[in-house]
Amino acid sequence: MRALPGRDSRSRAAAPADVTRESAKADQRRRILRATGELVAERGYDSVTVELIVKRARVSYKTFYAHFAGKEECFLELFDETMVQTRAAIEAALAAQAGAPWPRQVAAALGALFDVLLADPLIARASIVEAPTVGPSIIERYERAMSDLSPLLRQGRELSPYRDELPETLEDTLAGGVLWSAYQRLIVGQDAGIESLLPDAIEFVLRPYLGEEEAAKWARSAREQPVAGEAASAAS
Amino acid sequence: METRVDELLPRLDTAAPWRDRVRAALYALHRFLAADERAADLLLAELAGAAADADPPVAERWTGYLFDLIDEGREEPTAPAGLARMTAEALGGGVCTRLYAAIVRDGRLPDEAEIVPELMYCVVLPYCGRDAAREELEVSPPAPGFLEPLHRTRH
Repeated sequence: MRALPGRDSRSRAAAPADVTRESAKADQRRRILRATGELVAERGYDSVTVELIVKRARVSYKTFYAHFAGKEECFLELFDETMVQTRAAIEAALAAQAGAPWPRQVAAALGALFDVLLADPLIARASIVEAPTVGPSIIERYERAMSDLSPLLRQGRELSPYRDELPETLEDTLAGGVLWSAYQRLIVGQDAGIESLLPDAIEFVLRPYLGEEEAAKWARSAREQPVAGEAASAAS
Repeated sequence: METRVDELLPRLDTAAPWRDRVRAALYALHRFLAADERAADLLLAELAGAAADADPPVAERWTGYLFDLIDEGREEPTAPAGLARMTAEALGGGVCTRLYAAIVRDGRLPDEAEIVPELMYCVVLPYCGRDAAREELEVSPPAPGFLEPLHRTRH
């Protein structure tokens, strides 16, 4: 249907303003989330106030409260966003390894996870390390995120000659252990140590399924052909 | 809670074989957490964000003790030469996050006879091999007051 005379030009004129308003809002939101992440990583969640956030983000209180009901909601959004990015990176890495042997897929997923942590250690620290101090609102989300790798690891049971004896809780313990090791390095600011952790982490999670020698072989392969780089390019 | 940890940890420091000491530590940790719901919440929240705290409290004493103890597994005659300290950290971290997850998911710790043997399987496997790990699944929990006779410390 053709527009009435004048109607078309009005709608065209309104579009750029809308786009600008929307992008300005999105930019404000990004700045608020970034500021929250930086402050939480630097000071700990409890010591961060909305006052500090608005100063760091260079927005007004009114703008802050137009986006979030308070500090907690803002932090939850940051946490959720970080987890969405992490899952997307892992899924992209796995898609790039579709059809590859399971140990290679595990290596790629861990590589992608470590890449995300290394890409923005400050936000990773805020999201992963500080999250449990926020309170009950985040605990379930946190626990879910911690067990995200478990289904992929569980696939190893099908290949394992030891499948009948593997404990039911093995995957949660392995995934929790890898994340623990990574975030301990984030806590003490040894971000670079995360990268060198990767082959050991691969060996650690593969060992119960494949045995010592086979797990060591895949870890050596990860040292020689870094999967982290592959995962990063697959995710980008 | 701090006093209880200060009293408890030295009692675990015995001349018993490594596997027995790790098992005793895991049962002690489980019973410590199960004895006081508030202690469990506090300790596990501290564990999750431990070093972010300026004054590392009870949690770090537990993790420090547990990680060092697990790492002693590298001295077992069966341990492969290439094992890194990271293995002990990841296993200790895995134990802590597993207990934390159980409280979050189920609102309580799993029964000790159910969870500790599974955790022991994971801890023992890299250092002592598959047969030793499998044996751990069959070991019964110690008696309720098992820490009392452990006064025969190494020092």
